[in-house]
Amino acid sequence: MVSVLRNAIPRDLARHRWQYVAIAATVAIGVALFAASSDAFTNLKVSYARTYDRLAFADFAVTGGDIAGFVDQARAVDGIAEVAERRRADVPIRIGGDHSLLGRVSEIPDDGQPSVDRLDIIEGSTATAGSGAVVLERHLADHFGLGPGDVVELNTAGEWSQFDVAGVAASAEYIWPARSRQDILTSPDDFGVVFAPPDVVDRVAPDPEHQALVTYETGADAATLDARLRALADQVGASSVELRADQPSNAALQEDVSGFGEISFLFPVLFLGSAAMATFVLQGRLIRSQRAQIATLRANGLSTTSVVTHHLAEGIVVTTVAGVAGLAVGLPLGRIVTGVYTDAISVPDTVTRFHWSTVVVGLLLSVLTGLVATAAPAIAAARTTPGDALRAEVPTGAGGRSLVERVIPPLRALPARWRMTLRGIGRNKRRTATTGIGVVLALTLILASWGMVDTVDILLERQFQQVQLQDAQLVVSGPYESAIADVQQVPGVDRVEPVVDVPVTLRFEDASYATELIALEQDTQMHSFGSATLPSDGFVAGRSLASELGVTTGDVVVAELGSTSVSAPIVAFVDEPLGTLVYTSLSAVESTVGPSAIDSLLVTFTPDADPSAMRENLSALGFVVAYVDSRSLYDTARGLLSLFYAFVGVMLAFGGVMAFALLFNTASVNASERAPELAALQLNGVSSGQLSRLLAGETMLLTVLSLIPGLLVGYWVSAQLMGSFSSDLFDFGLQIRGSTLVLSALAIVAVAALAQWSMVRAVARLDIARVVRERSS
Amino acid sequence: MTGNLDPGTIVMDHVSKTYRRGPSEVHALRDVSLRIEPGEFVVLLGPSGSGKTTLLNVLGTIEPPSAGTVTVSGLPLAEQRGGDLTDYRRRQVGFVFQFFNLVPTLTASENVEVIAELVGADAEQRAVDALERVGLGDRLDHFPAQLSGGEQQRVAIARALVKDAPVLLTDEPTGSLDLDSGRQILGLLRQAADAGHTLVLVTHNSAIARIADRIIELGDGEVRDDRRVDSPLPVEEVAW
Repeated sequence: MVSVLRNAIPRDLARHRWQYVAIAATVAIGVALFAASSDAFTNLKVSYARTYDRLAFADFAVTGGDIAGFVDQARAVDGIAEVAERRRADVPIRIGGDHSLLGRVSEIPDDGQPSVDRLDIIEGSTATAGSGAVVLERHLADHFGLGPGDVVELNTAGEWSQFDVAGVAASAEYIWPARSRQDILTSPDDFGVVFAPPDVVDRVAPDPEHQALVTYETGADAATLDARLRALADQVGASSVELRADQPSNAALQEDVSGFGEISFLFPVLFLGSAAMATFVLQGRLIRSQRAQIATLRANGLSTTSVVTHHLAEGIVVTTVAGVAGLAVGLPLGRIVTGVYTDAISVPDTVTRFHWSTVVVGLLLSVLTGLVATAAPAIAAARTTPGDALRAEVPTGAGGRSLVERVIPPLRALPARWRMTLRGIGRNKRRTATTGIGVVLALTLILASWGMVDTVDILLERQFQQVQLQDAQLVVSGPYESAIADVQQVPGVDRVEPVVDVPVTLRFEDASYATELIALEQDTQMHSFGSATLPSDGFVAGRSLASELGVTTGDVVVAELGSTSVSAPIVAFVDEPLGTLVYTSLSAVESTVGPSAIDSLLVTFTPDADPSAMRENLSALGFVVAYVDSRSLYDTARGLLSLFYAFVGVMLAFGGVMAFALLFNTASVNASERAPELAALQLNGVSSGQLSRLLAGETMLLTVLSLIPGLLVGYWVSAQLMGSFSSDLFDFGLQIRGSTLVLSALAIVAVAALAQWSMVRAVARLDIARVVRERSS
Repeated sequence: MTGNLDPGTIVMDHVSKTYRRGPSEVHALRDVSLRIEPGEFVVLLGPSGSGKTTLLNVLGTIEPPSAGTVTVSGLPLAEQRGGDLTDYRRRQVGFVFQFFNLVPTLTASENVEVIAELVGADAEQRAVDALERVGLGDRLDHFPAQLSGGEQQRVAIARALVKDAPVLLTDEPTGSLDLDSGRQILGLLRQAADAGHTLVLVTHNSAIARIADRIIELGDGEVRDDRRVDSPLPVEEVAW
């Protein structure tokens, strides 16, 4: 590049500093978001991997069947590092003598430390055989403020036994304390885990599940081993197998991690795309305004390479400097996000590393943004022929009535100045397209983030207020019939129903799926199945079962319930937000599972009942060994949304910045391009206020028109994004409230109005003398 | 307030205009005093840099003078601010430039109508009348891109005339036109002056100056000569 041209770069940048600042801000946010989300994504993966490695998190788990036989055969398989046996049982826990909840006892060996799914003792010590003590999983301990020396009670057949707390531990199995894949959202108020040595398990769990846990050697082919062990599990008659990817805690956490992965791609694309368009518009205008000078320089021997390099450099300098600023913010932000996240959900290990790849990709993205945005205007500049130097700039826009005037003829009767506004919308196709796309990108960003919150919020509301209708679930000991009668007597109780909730493995042809079978009264009022009803013989299943098993309604599946099984057809599928459960009527399974399986009651309260008092009164009934408060679970889940709301607030602000930057530039370029005709109109009596209103009317009208495609595209992208998170654990079909669409649109309109400031300022400061002089020169 | 001067009367009293260009000062106008009567066709003649465009700009309130006073139709321009300034431009002066500066998305009649709407009712009909006066009655619905340069300049003149402002300020109106088109434009301007408009035309072309009633020659920001033309040259005889 010629050195004199190089000197012109800072001058050009200074002359249009606010426009370049707007572009730089958009690029910086895009690169910062990329760096923060990409680093958080990588850091979280590494953090989990370190915890999983340190605590020997099981690669494969099998439940039921001949576990001893499985262990013997698995140990002989090449690539297997460890195989451990353990027992596990769901046992009610009571804290402080009055707070009973669903509990789980997980066996640890005599020495207190398993070889697979090891415990990370964070307080006190582990519990060894004969100590009469247990170790509490950290979420339970943290929630109730328990530690070494405290006491918890475990229930067996209606009898409570006290155990000392030896210590508090973190476990890779319960980083996210999910009770099962089908019960992924739990509150520590309602569910907790204790780790107990064999003698304690003997006392409290007369009929535990037997499990084998397997870890693979480093570098082993996991897929091959998974298949090999699955075959072994089938041979020994296992009731279920669980790969690491399916393990409830890991599966839930991977949903979040993949969310960071999606965001690290989608959001930077939106910002950098928007910045590229703003740069394209601005550089295009700059080059058009300099075409005579460029052509003159060309006529005097300046090479096309010098012209192209000069203009490319202008764009790239801005985006690269902004990219560096974005990285300077994004890299520490990624560490902060990782730390806040791992702290919020108590991930035992937090790994934050500096990733050169993030720096390189971030810089590449910055340079590419400038390069792509400036290439077309720079090439156009190089193609300017010397002859162009002799001709004045041709005003943009051919004549012609606007589409809207042709569609709505009465608009032709509008005052001429407003017809000017209508036609101004399509006057510069590039500016029109850029403004429209800017609105679409900003709305996409806002809806993609706001849509996540709305979806989760609405789905939780559906799950806890329209699907699950009970106010509480009571786990009872003893005959359920008398329990129902006693519970019904408690003031504030409206209705009581028995329920069976047992693990089940469904099989259809070669496919199997482990889930839970919920059996309710056929005319239950505790659960809504939409238009479906519970059959007397057959299953109603969550929608995902169709793809998991490859079944459709009418297909007969085998439901394996421990040592027995039932064959029945799928009569209907239901769309439920959480889990993929299978439902049937009590009468259909009572003979199979036996009356002892009916150990829970679902309860609804009268409208005036106080939930806290109801918990106290119902827990006081001697036969109630665990109490699950549906409202507290709902409140806990909604509490998690507060983090999401902060995220949406930030994205709304960023979306506003993005839209503002683009609209600010298009508005100022609009005023700049039309300076001669604006000067002529002003000199002939049109006030600067009127001119501002006419130009603002164009952009605002275009913005409003762009809202329609913006909302459609934003909705579609949001649906794709949410769809990518959907699995058999969660149904994330996009839900967006009408108010969200309206508020998003209004936010964009407000930003567009604010962005007119640049144009209003340009019109008010229009240097008519200079415009006239430059046109005359 | 129009004072006691007739509409179209221009009075400049000891007007100077100085620009700062870095450390140095450029004196574009130096102590210019003159009076132009209503209906006069005055040409400001001079070479590039003589101050003629600056003088026109001062009259049009594009630039304020550094010293001295300017009164148009009895209005002291120094006192025109904000709404008053817009009202002055709307009712007292019309502008025509070398480049036509039409709005490309509006038809010929709409370009005129935009201005007509500012000063009274029946804007559409007045725009048509103005275009017919400049001989473009058959080009009303043409967009600027469909008009020749001369035709576009005629639209610009119609735009300036439609307000019926007493003063018409024109800056090299034939500068980008061929001879025939230029003659047509000059003819229209002559007609406007004959109809009572005070007309100030800036040119560096002495041939064009000969159609005026009065020629004010500027040089280095000063009035070098101010003479009446006893027999203005008929427009059709102008050649350059």
